[in-house]
Amino acid sequence: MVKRKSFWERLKRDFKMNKAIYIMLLPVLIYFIMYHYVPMLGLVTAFQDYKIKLGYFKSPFVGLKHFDRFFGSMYFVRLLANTFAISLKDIFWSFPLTITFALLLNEVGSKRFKSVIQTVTYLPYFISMIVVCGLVMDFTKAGGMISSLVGLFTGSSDSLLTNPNYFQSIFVWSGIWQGLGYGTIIYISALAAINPELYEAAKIDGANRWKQTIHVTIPCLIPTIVVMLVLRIGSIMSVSYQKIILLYSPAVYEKADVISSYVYRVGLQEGTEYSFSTAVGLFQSVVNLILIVAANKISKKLTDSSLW
Amino acid sequence: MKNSLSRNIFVVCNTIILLLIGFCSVAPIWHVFCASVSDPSQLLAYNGLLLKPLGNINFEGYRMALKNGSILKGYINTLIYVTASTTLGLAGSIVTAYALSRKDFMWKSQVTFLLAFTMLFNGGLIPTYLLVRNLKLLNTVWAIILPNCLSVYNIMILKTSFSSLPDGLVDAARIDGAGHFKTITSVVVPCSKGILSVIGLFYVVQNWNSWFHTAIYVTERKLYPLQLLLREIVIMNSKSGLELAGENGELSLSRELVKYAVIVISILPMMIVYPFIQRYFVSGVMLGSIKE
Amino acid sequence: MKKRMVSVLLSLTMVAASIAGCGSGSTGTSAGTDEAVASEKTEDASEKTDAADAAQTGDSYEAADAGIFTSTFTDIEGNEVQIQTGVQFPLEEEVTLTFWYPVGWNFIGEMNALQDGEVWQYLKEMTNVNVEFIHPAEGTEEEAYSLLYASDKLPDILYSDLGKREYAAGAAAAVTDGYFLDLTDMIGKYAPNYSAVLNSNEQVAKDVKTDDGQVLSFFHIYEGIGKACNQGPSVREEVLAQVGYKPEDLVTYDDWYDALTKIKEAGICETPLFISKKGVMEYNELTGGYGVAQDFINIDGTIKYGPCEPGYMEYVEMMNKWHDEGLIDSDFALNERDPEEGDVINGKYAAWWSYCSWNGDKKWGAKGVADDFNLIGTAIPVKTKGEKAHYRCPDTIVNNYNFHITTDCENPEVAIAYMDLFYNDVVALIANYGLGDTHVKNDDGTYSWSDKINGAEDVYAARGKYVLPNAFYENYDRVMDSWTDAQKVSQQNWLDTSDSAYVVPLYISMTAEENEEFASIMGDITTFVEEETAKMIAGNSSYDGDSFVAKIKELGIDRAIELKQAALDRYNAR
Repeated sequence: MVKRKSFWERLKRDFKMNKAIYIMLLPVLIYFIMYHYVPMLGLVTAFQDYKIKLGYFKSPFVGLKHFDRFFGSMYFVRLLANTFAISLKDIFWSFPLTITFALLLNEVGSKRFKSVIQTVTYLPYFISMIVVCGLVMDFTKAGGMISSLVGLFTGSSDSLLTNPNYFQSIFVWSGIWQGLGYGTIIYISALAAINPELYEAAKIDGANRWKQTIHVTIPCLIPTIVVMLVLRIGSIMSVSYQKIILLYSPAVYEKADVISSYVYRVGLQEGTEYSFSTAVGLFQSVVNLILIVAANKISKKLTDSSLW
Repeated sequence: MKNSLSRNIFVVCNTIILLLIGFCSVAPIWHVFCASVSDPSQLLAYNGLLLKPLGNINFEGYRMALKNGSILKGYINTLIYVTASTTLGLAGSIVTAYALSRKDFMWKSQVTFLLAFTMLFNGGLIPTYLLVRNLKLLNTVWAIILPNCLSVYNIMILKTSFSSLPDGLVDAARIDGAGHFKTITSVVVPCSKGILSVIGLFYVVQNWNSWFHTAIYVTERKLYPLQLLLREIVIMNSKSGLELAGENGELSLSRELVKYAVIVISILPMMIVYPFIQRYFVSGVMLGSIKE
Repeated sequence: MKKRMVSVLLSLTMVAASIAGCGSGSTGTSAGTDEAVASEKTEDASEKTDAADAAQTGDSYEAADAGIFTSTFTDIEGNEVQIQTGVQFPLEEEVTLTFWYPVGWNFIGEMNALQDGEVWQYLKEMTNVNVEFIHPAEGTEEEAYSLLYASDKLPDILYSDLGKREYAAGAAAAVTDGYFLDLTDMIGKYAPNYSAVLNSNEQVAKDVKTDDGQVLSFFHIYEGIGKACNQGPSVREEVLAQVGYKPEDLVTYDDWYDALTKIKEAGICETPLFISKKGVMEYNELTGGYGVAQDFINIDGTIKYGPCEPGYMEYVEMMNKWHDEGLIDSDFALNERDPEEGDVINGKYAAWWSYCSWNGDKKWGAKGVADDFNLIGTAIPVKTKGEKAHYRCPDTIVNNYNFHITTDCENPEVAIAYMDLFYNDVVALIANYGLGDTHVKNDDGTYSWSDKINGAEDVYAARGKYVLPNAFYENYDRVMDSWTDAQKVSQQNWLDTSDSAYVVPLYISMTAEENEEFASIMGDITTFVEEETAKMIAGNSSYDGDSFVAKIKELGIDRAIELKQAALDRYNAR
């Protein structure tokens, strides 16, 4: 039996073969260590009562005090639930819609039409959040366009944003509207990279367009879809507070208050203390980590492609 | 060749759906355009989507947004920052993605994980600020260009794309004696024009929209990028800005227009640039380069 | 290096002056100079000699000590006068002070920076001190402020906002942590004018000092009687007239109910009353009549929490009734503190909270409202006629903005003396009213802004350029001068019918640990109260009066009350 090469021997061999890679990677790694890993040490403040003057080494260590406060809050479960619900709703709808949109665009014959639609749908991404929220509030207030539309089904055209049951949907769908065009770009590019010979082969086998889509297009898209999905799962806990704050109000806290908006609001009362928000952020990161590792493992098993 | 009936129906439905989606995107943009030149008091009283500007065409919003000469400087600054950051970002990303897509690189998985880790864990504002301060970069352009010039998200996408390049392609180059660097420049990059233009666009957009780093690290207004200046204008003219100003705050009529004018000003370049980049998205792998 | 030289020179001068001034001679000289000043100037003479008297009798801040100089300044009329200053102005060598000041961008207007304004240029001429402002980007003031403490060097002068943007552990802790200078001993020597202001008004001194009697910053102070309540519930007079009411008629809640109902029935406004998403008006004007507020209240020195008191549920039930009858809009939960401009122009509401300076038709008239639009402040409603409400926006003499001098300042004496200038009557007059043709002199000797400001296209940019947007020793008359009758009547209505006895003073302070404990308790309580109030008013809360209060107690309100009470007691003992 051939003895497996020792670690050092493998390292030497790899270095010789891939010396250029090591050299090229060096500046990149330095950048990441400097700008990401070194500041990460600041996470230690989650366990301290951090005071800038005292610095990291002298600020008093308080263990899990901040975590206790967060977990012990009467709203903890609700915040967690809302954060998850919003993220999951977003993933559930935006992924299929974005991919479908890309596929539909791909089927268009006229280059001009395709290009126009693409340009037009990608623009909403650039409208600043303040204005988008203004538009959303305008359409969903009592008598607004969307409220009236909904009113046709429910019988009353009340304002939608004051109803907790609608908040999450409004939040998610306005986000989908804004990001749909921009999000398809990656898929359009991936679609174009599919080897035409595969389509030829399928045609020869008698597949029509639909069957081609199922047996050629989608499988070729899987690696892209997987990487996008896994990356997205890694940010489930990180619903950003800015848009929430612009759209929510005390009446809908029960469905609208997410972790980041709660911390932001409560943090305002505290002035310039960071330990609490760092602790909560750390909690969010850990959950995200667990989720992304799980997603990566599952995708490896199911589809053979994964992030790492 | 005749198209089948079902195919025709599909094409028609597809076109309708796409038009609908297109309309839903255009309508608010058109609304913003119209609002930016409408008569302010009619605008305030109006509810719903605008189909054409209200009242007399009024360029007050643009005048007020642009009258501060720093907008032009902001544009120039942003151009510089975007170019520098995107160049650095693209170069770094290509190199890293290539390395991570080499199956025979022994640290592939570990480095990938290390990079993905940085997307999840963040030390927060203070430690990063302290770092920039200790590097003596406060108030310099480097504080604007360097932080976040490399995006792990983009690297991951690029890596996936490089991984799906046919093995034969790279092997052919290596057999011909090319080193890694030559392989990148002569094989990988030319074959990945599509994805590279996409990632390039992502970087450009990300850098174009960024303002937070400048706000935190830089106090000299001369260095402010466009987005930060525009954001200031919008805030000053919004309800939240009003509350900060207390009883001194007041929305003069034209300021309502400024909000919309600002959006138009910042969207315009993106609208112009996109159609040119678009055509590159769809360049795929160059075939035939393997066949010997 | 230069700055070092200047400080050395200054210190030497002061030492020399103190040696020279050890006899009674110098006291006599300064009195003599003051009398000379008094004969030149008109209105401020008596105040000047009073200050000098206080200085001579060696009152609390020992202003008679050496270190008080007289410098030559040009007053508002253009005459040269001698005023008391902390150091000798103009300085031998120019000193630059950095000043962190988040002023609104609208005040800068077309200038490059705030220091290009006329008043700052004037001061530069007089003192040879160059001020460099540092303005954080709009919208990032919070982060910028907290990052200041992480930067190499703090700016020399730092703006803080009591209760909103200050060192988290309180200013006293900032001093022990080594960021701010403790000014207590230094203002006697270098800030004669500020000391005089503090000496002349016990309430001001109480508000400015900490629990331990330290003076830590220069506060933004209103002259004289200060700034009376300038905000409150306001009603459109022309709409009331259509249903046969006058603003004076609205005294009790029942009056309000009748009037609003009549307005709704007449079809003028569908939802006449505007309240914010928290279910109250901005400063709790509608709850005052029930003796409560959506906050802590101070009843004769005892702290209570408004929502726990019975009056609160009475208020909520009333609001619920009004909501069901359509007097409040059903989506009030989206409202900010006052109506959108579009809604006002469309005439959607008849009554809402407003600043006094937005009343009448001056602000709204320009925007296309109906011709007879007239917004008048009304009395704060009470339960029965003759009662007085005890919660409203308080009269302010000491404002919440204050300025610290940091330990990184290389010329603290200069910085202190410079800030002190603003409390001197001569300089304050210019800071308030501006030079040249920015002001006009009235018949009774007072000043007002001329059309250069009042008639300017951009009033705020004009204010920023020609005067100080908020003079640090501010004469609120200058703002009230430009008020119309409607606005004056509004303010009168608020002042006549209520007082702010129940408002908890802003200037109480807690220690760092207390503050943290307090914040962690109140985080959830405030969320709960705001959310449930909004829901109870809309009628879909799962809590009723008793369970609501019980829940608040469960969340730890008693401990929070204890902490607040302790802070209040310490304040009262100052």
